[in-house]
Amino acid sequence: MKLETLSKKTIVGALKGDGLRFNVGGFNVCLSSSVPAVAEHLLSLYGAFDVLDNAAFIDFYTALEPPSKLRRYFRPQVNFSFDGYFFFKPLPYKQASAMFEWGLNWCIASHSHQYLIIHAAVVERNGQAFIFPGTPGSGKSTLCAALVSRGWRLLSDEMTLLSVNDGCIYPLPRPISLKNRSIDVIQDFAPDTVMGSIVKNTLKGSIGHVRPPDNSVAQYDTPAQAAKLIFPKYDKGSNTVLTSLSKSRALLKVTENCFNYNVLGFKGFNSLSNLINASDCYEFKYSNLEEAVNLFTELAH
Amino acid sequence: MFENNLIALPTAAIIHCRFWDDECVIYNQLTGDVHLIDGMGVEIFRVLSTKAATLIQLLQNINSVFEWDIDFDAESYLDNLIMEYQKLGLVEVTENTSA
Amino acid sequence: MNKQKLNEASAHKKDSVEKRRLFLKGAGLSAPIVLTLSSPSVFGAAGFSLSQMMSGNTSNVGTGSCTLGQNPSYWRNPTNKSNWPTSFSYGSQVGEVNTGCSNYSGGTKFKDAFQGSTGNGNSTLLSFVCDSSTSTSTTFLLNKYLVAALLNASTPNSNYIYTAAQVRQLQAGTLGVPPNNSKNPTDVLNFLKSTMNP
Repeated sequence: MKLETLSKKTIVGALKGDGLRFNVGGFNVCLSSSVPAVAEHLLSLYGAFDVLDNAAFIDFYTALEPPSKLRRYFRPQVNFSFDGYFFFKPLPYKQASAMFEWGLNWCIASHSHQYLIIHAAVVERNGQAFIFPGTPGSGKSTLCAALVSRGWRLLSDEMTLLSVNDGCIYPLPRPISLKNRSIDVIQDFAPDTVMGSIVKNTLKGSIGHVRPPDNSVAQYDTPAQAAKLIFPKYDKGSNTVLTSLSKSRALLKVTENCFNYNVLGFKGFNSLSNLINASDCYEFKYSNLEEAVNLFTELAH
Repeated sequence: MFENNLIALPTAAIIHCRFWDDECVIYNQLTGDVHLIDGMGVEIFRVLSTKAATLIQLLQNINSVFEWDIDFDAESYLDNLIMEYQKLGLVEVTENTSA
Repeated sequence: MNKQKLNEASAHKKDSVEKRRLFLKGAGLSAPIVLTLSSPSVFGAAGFSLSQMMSGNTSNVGTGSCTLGQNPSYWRNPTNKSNWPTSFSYGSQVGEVNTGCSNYSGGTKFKDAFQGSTGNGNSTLLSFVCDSSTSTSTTFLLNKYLVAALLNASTPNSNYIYTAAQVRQLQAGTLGVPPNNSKNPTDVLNFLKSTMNP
């Protein structure tokens, strides 16, 4: 049963009660929250995800609640907890939906060492997965949202899950996070894009989340093979330039973008080496989104 | 310096090499460090990743891959390279008992 | 246009392999190690924290949070008199036999700290927090907690919920407290208690 088939009243009731249980990629999440914005966020962006029954095994028990007493009313805040523990300081109440996304990112990155987790967007076309590591200034999420709006399958916007067992990339097709100007850029590029409420004044500025395509969510259990590893850099006014990168240098660069490389040790190195073996590696400079999308679509043929 | 020695990867199997074109990436399992190597170093590790070798054997192999000026002291250069790799724990140098 | 860019990328790769061999022939040789990536820390990498990039809210960030203040018992304790903000005086010890707070006098007056207030004569700030009588008078207790709140707010870098100006407004009855913006002394007292360590 999809989340969007439930009434808002049912969703709110579940969130306020024993928690709403739903599948997110390959992970089962139970979320409790009395914050109205959280229910709105789930309804608008997680509608295509499966709701689970009470018998389902849950990977992450999470909650988003205001603190008791003081900060419930005065400069109100919201806390994210995992298994009842608080790993982050609270955020302003209005940032509850963004805090859910960040908190879930942390849960997955901290507890999923069956994968080497790369800070990268990954999309797929014609059976080829294109990985875009997210160094600062890369514009990876903007690129990801643009490609997805043109029919590419979304595997993940934030975390590329590379299995250390079989070398495949496993999907985590959650909402795409856009910041500041990128929100306007994507709304202009793809006016049909469904976006949740804009959360303002976060540490990263304004944040908006793009609903993942239903068919990407439906293929959450279909892994992909890596074909291209591309390090993007948005450079205002620049031409669209794709340059080959030696595999050795690509390996070092991608290592710097891994969340749990050091936890995995040799397994991590081996997994990345195999990924590099299987992929053509590039550096990519761009300023024109249309040209970028066209180039990658050509590359995927 | 290493004329009478045998040069090899450490016996504990902690050094792992990956070769792409004329570059090589070496992972040190003890430290977690990753090194990018090019040039003559690549050929050293290409040989050592299959078997131990003497300095002369390494020099012969490198001579088959590269050319250099007649006044270049390749043996001394190779000697220095081995010493640097030894300092980093990437190679072991032992007495050549089979000589 | 796109095919051309792809072909250029492939050609660049092929050329660079052949050029490297020729360069070696010229005897300008490379260093033993071209580049080393030292073992990155868990969830971190050279130059930036990946978890911070992901979450935007690491456990070291204090944005949006504040801390509980000290209660009246803390401020009356002579051991803590050096922690009084410099704009307020604890007072001077009168004799040597009794070293408790009741043996101090001459500190900052309540009416000077809360300018414009009346009805407390020349009583000092210390006399309010030092008074350990069991009176349940709301006015008495509220004054005690207002003094503690003012000292909390005036302590540099304290991150207390109120500023000194706001505490003075509370005392003057011009600022209400959550949740209903009440100016009722009992509500103000109870709220102030909740802002301090028990």
